[in-house]
Amino acid sequence: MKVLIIDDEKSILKMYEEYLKTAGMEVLTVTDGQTGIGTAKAQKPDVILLDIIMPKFNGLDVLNKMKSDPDIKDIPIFLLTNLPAECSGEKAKELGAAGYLVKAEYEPKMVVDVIRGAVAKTKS
Amino acid sequence: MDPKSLPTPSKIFRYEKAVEASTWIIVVLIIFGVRFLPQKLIDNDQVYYLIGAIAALALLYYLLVYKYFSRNNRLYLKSIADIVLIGVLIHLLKDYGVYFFALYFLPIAAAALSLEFINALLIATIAALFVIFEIFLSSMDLLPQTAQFYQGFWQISLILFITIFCRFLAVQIRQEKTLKEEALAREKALAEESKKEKEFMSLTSHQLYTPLSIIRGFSAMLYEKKLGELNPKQEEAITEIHDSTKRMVDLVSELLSISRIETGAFRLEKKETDLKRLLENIVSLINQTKQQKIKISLDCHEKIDSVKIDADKIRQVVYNLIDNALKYGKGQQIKLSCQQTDKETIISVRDEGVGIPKADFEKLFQPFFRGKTILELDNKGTGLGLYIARLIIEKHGGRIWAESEINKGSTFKFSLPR
Repeated sequence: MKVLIIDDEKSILKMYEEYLKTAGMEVLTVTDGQTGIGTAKAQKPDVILLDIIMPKFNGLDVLNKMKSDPDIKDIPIFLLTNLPAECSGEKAKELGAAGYLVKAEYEPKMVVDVIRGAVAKTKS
Repeated sequence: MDPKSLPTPSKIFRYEKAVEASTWIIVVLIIFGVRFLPQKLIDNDQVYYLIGAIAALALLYYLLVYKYFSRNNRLYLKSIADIVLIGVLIHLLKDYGVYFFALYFLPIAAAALSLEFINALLIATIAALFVIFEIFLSSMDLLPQTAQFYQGFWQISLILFITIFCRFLAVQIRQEKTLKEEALAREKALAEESKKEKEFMSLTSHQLYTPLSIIRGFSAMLYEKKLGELNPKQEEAITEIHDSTKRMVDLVSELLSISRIETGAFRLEKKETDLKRLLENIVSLINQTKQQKIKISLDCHEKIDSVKIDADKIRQVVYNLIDNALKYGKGQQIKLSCQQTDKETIISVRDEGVGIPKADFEKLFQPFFRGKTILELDNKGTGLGLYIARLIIEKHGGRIWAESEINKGSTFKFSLPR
């Protein structure tokens, strides 16, 4: 199972990378949206975890671009952010996000469950 | 002339173009139309050329007025010119001119609707003077006629009536418009303020949550021994860190929710909701949880009409009440009920737990209140859950309250208006 994490906060990337690896997942990490789109197209991950507040492109712009790209539009993308759902949850849903996870409220094991659930759903 | 130095233009200029167009259409009709009337109106054909010349001069005058004057002054000068033009036309058309008397109404009405009262009255006076002048000239030709004076009297009365009526109308329209503009400005200011609050709250959430999520994530990894085995003392320490981080996250999350509600950055997204289905889903989800030993029962009336609510927020309230019942319910039965009257829908959560002393009833829904019986059972809650529930229910226009007997259990109820 291949997971791409796009987040400009290196400590967050390190934490999820470590955790997901211990859960047996292959983890790709990038720190900006532009590189994230390129990596997604080249590596075709099973799931993408995407932060919202990032330099250059914010996560919602990246989500929009990814969902308009026929190569990667079917990959489930979860927004993994610390912005409250009330702020961007609706917009994320409109743009086609598979889910909206607030980092502080989701323990890493819950994130792992979400990823597994999404992959199982895609395969079925 | 600097338009900025001129008085503020009237808001009712949309009448200006209509009046302008109507006047010119009628002038053109008079100039060209009278020739085709069955009876020859005017003895001398040169009068037509005179009318044409006057109309051309008037047109030139209007063009100059359009070029050099601001809208407010322009309307004033044009109204005077309209009255003069109509007065001259009526005079030149002799007896038939009386049929064109109604033409006076257009510039008079436009002036009364758009200008200040004193200016509108001046224009009405000019029109009245033209009427008197015309009567005077007619009387010279046809000798004194009482009918002519009566006709003049009614014409002047009509001119005054139209001025006062249109003026009254303009005041009403302006008042309504001002009220609407004020309401819009207030709404805009509030929306702007709410947007700023929302942005501030979002960024505050982000800044507070980011270090917390890192602490929570790494402490979870240590707690779950993903980074290797721990000795008993390390394990005890990390359990405390892990639990406290979760409490901290809950506390920050609830404080942020309260701030959002209290500052107005939080808005309800109300939609028609099948409440029975919503409650069934909540009960089913909680009962499916593996760790959940107590099963929750649902007692809903056969027919519950849909209600307009923010389903996510009401779900949050119900979860919160059930969570409290699970914590303080002594492992007994928990019952979720729903009933509907003509005016409201009442949802209640009943447990058979320790109960709450009556003295605490009023304080229950205040922030950070933790009753003695509750503290004996659990000291890890934030004391904000019921306060948030109250804010959400009050935002819906409902109320929330508790009924309880010590050692017999408690029922938390909330109502939602229909």
